[in-house]
Amino acid sequence: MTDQNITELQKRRADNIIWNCAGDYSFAPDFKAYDSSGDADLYWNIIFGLARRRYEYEKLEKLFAMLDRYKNSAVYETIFWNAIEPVLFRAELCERPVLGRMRPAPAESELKLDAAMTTDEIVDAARRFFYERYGLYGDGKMRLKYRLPHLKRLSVDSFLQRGRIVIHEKDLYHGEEPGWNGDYSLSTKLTVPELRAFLETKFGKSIVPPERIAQLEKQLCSGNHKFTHLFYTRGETVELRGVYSSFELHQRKRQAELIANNRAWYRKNLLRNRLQISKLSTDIMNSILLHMQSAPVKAGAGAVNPALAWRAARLGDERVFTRTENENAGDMSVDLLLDASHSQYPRAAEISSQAYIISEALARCRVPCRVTSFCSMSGFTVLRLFNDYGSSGDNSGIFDYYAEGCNRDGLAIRAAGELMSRSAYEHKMLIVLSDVKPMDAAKIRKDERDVGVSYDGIRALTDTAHEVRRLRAEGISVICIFTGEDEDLSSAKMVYGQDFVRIRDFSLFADTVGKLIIDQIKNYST
Amino acid sequence: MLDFLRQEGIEENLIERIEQYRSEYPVAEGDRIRIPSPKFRYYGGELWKLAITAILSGENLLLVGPKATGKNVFAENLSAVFGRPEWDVSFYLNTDAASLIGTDTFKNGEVSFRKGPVYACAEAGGFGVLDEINMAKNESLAVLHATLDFRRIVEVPGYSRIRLAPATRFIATMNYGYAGTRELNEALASRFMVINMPVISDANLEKLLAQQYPSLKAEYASQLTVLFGEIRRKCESSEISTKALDLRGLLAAVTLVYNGLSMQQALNIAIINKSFDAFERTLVEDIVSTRIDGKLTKEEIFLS
Repeated sequence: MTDQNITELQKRRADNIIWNCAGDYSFAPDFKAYDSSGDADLYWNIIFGLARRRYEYEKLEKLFAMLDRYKNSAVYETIFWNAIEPVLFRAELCERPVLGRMRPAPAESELKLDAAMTTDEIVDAARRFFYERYGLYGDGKMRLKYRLPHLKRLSVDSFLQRGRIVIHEKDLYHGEEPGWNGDYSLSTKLTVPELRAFLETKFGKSIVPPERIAQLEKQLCSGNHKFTHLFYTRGETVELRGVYSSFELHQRKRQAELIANNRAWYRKNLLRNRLQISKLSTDIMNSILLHMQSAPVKAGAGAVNPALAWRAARLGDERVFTRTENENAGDMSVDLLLDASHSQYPRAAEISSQAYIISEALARCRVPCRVTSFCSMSGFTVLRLFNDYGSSGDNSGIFDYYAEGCNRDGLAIRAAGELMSRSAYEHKMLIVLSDVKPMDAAKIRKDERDVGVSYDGIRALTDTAHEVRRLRAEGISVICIFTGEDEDLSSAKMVYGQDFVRIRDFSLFADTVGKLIIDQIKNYST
Repeated sequence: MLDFLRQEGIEENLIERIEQYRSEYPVAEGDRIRIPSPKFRYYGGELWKLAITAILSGENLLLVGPKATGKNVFAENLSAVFGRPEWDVSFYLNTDAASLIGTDTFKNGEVSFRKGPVYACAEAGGFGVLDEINMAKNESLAVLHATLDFRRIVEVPGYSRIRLAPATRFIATMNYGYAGTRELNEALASRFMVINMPVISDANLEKLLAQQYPSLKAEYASQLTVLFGEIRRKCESSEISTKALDLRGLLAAVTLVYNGLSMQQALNIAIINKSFDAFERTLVEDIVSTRIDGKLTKEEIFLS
């Protein structure tokens, strides 16, 4: 069993048991235990939580960091946990009698600890034990005689309780940040269908049949976007084949690293992020409720409606009053459009978390939300749908966000507008997360023979601004969460007018974004 | 009820003044049925003193606090202590002047006035409990301004204005920051004395359990108390919603065990199942099963 086989839900469940027993929710648990089917293990997670409550955990963390320098760290850590488990068990039993029934058969451990020891004494005892018994110096080096193969016989299983798996995130205590080792550019002379096949292996299966694509391109890829193409996907992986394989494998590996980093970043700030979600959803909920529209209905009591009064006398119909009924202004949808071009690469983790927070908050308010990312490559603007209106509760797909290529903001916004125009919601909002730096290698060309001008700088900004205003004219509110650098603030102002915010302090994310969204909702009610 | 106040450490002179208040404002025979006889007592000596003094001074109260802090229990206890008939008004989004003061209705072929709860309460000199006052829009509450401040009148447009009977008080409750609630505007807030309701302390919860279930063994009262605290901490960390943080449910669970269910069955229907989300339910189950042995029955947790 590896980390991948355990569902997010079970991980969160394990977290919650640990937090509960630690009496503290302000840390991201390191060790978590699961049973052989991948379900969170109650007993061991209680023990992990109790260790936090009863000892100075930062000192234990140092011990784990020391053990992690060794190849067999999992074995050593297991020895330690098996040694401390009886101590914690006995100390907690009177406060939590149910533990007596839950405890599995205790494991033998040569490391002896007892309840009277302080954290320092425990750490000292453990260090001494690991030095004397296994020759660990504590700095990754080992005494010579212990390098003999006898250690290999100590597999993790022989220490762990049968069927239980203890996992802590790889490289937790001495990990390096997964790094970015240089951009690459793709030059190609492939035909459009070949490119489509390439994009399928790169971004995932196309979700729009070819004939529909042709229609959409005719409708959308005009004007400044003539001779460019569109590609829609949900990111479902296609089996690798042919000449791209080795190159693609490398790409995929890098992509997987980045995605793991997105999730890790969110988890690292879990508590803060969750607070942001609940804060944002409360704000949005309040504003939706506050600005609901009211409609008068006929009623048997209330304010007399003179126009109906005759009915009482003539027809005996006593429903001649008017009562105001508030109808749900929840008839609203939100689209998140994420700029996934390479310039966003360093901020990918932050952007995916922001998108996740917004979509979770909206989901809690039952506002349908769709998340799409866009980037451009080889003349194609790729729109990747992460989740759609009314899709099931899990928004965590957003962490698959990956930034590469160029960005043709104008076309992307136009395409997003087209997607939105297909739904029947009364109020539509488009939130763009972007650094407002449109740039695409595919030039602006008037006709086949035109060499064209580049799609960047002021030309691209004007084009994007134009598209934003076109959507606004159609009644869609377009707002921007600016993710770029100060020098591009003026571009954001030019493209989005007043309706953008810059996140300077992530802990104020909910306040800032909430205010922007609420301003739009206010407009709906007037 | 007054003996209970003495246990809570309320000074004798305040109790005398309550008795004086009671005899000064007798309750009409027809309204007697509205005087509550509370099932639960509110424990919290300091708060009692604040509230009693405010009411004796002619002020209205606003009780602010999160879920399971006993806002309504306290309000009901106050009505009982002062021996006043109680009118409960639950506020909701569409609460408007008509639903508070009264509305026109049709009776026997002519338009007549149907009294709303605030009007009735003001006539009878009762205690009006304005529950979840911040659920309603502030604009629709403007009609209460004159009722709640020194003017002490109820204005009925098109009919008359009445003066509040001198014994009338209003006790509003609100849960700040709850979904669907809004900020209470200053005009309204300034017409109340505001009491922040603390979360029930472990000691008081144990007291409450002991009072309700005298035969419950002390060790289990304390386990249930700790369990409740653990659920609350999980709510405060926004890991779960407040659905499972249900004091009524906890008390009901004990009754259910007394009447024959196992601990597991009782906690399932009284607390765990209140989280409708399957995953949230798992989290609550985990808290319960890492604290309480589900197989426990009446024989084990109650003294025989």
